[in-house]
Amino acid sequence: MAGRSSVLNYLIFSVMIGTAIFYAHFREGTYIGYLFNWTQLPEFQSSSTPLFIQLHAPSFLQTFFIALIYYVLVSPSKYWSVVFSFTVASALEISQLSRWQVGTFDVLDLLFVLLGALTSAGILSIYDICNRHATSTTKFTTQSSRWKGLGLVLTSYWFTLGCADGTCDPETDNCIFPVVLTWEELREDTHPSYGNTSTLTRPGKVHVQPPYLFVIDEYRGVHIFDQTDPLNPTRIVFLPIKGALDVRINGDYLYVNSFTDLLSIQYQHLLDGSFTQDHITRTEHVFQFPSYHLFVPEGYRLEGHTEKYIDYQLNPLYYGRQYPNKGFIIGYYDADFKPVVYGDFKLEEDQ
Amino acid sequence: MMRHHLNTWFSLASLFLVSSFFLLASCVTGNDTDNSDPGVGGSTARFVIQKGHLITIDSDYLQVFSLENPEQPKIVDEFTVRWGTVLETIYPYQENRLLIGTNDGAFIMDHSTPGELSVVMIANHVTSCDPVIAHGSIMYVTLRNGRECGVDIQTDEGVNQLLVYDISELGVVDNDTQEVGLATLLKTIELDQPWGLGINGDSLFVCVNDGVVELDIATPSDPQIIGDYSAQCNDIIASTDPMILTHSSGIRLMQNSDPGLTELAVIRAGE
Repeated sequence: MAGRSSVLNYLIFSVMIGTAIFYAHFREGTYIGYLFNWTQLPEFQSSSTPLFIQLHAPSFLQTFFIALIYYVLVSPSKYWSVVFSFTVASALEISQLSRWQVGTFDVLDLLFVLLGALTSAGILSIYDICNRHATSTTKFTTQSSRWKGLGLVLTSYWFTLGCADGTCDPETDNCIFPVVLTWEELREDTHPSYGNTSTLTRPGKVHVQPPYLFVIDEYRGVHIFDQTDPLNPTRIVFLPIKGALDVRINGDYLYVNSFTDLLSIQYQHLLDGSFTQDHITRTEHVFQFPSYHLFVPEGYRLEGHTEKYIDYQLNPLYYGRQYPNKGFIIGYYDADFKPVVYGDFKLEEDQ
Repeated sequence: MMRHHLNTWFSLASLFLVSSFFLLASCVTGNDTDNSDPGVGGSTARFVIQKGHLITIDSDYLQVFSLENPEQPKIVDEFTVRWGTVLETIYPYQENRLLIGTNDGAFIMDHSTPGELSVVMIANHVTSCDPVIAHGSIMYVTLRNGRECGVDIQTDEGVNQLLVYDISELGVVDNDTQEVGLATLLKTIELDQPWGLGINGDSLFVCVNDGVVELDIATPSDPQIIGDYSAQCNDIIASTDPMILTHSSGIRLMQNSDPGLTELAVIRAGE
């Protein structure tokens, strides 16, 4: 029985650690976040995670995590663990209504706190059923050691609280959540669409190289048209390139910028359909990257931990060019959590 | 604590970046191959290829990339301009010159030795956006006001003009006594929000707010307005057949029917 008990205790500890790591994924502004940041966790706020999850997962995870810690270290009762965790997490969320607590109050966050409490209650019930014959070896059983346990729980709260989360004050600012393009996303493989299958979203600069017309689709890529018949120019291919604004040709090579990088493309392979990733070479970090002001409408401020995407803005004349570690801001999420990128300001137009 | 560690690493990384740029800037190639670019771009371009080098402007930076290894362009030279100046357009002029438009002036650079640029002429004006092109010894610059051009529309009305400069007195390109010439303003023509411009034969086409204006430049120093067409454009490539007008609503292929412009085809945005 004792052996089984310790296996279950290991299990519940693993769940705790797992939750903490998962929590760190969403909240970088915590000591847990900094701790696990060193282990090269995937970036929080990566565009692959839906924004809805990014916004509310921390409330859920924090409540869940603290309930388990409290149960293991302090309380003999799962009910008190869950009630304690729920009360403190809700109190913290509600205190965000006041000036001195950072963060933005959201009723949905409270709902996720409740969900976290209920989930922990479920897990602890299963644990209790499996563990009812065992005597606990991990709990602080005396009154004085319970105070120590409570101290540990409060310390873990401090570890998981955002320390500078929310640079935007919703009382005075119009806050929006930024869309970040990571360096990995910028440098993903690109696949041409042959034939007349793509759309020219935002016509940009043009380079004429008879009989071809190279047309920039601003920030999205380059279209190649055949204008042998000027009355009926036909699209041969579209190559998506993130951040493309300028295009030139020299010999067999097409030169296009991709935000900070310069691409050399053997474009004959685009014309004859034999293009592979070997025909594109990327010279990294040769151009400055765009100021986020380009992609965020005037009068709006960014929410969340954005300083690491924008704090490089030093004069390159004196400091050289610097690039943020993770990526940079290319837009924001609108009221329906839809990304609005590359300065297609729908938000401004709506007003 | 962790934050301070991050800052230390960040400083070290930036130090490394700065020093690597100094290293890059110090190596200049002696590639003499003339790989002239047969293609044509508009007057609002930021990339130009001349003498086997890609020259780019990027806010306050001008960079020269050697294309000796076409797959791996290499920065061989770079310039920055004084604080507050923004480089906006770059356009090739003759075999070995570049016209550069900034928000507070235009200048001409000499590119006689491949990969080595030097300023040979300056034309200052008020803060506006300005694409530049040239014909013989005459340079045409458009000025346009508006928020995107660094002009505060609340307090500064800016100007909307086509400026005609004499650029025959270029400076001396000599390592010992480098002199920068000054462009002489010959004529000012008021236009409605002019932007990109292009030349075809004796005609100068200028994109304006609601169309294209054609000017006769048979006498290059004294352009005369001879036509006004309603095709939308931000920039124009006039030296090709068909001519190309670019605009956010689409790309237009136009025929110079002398006089007048005929629309051949439109590649519309959203198509």
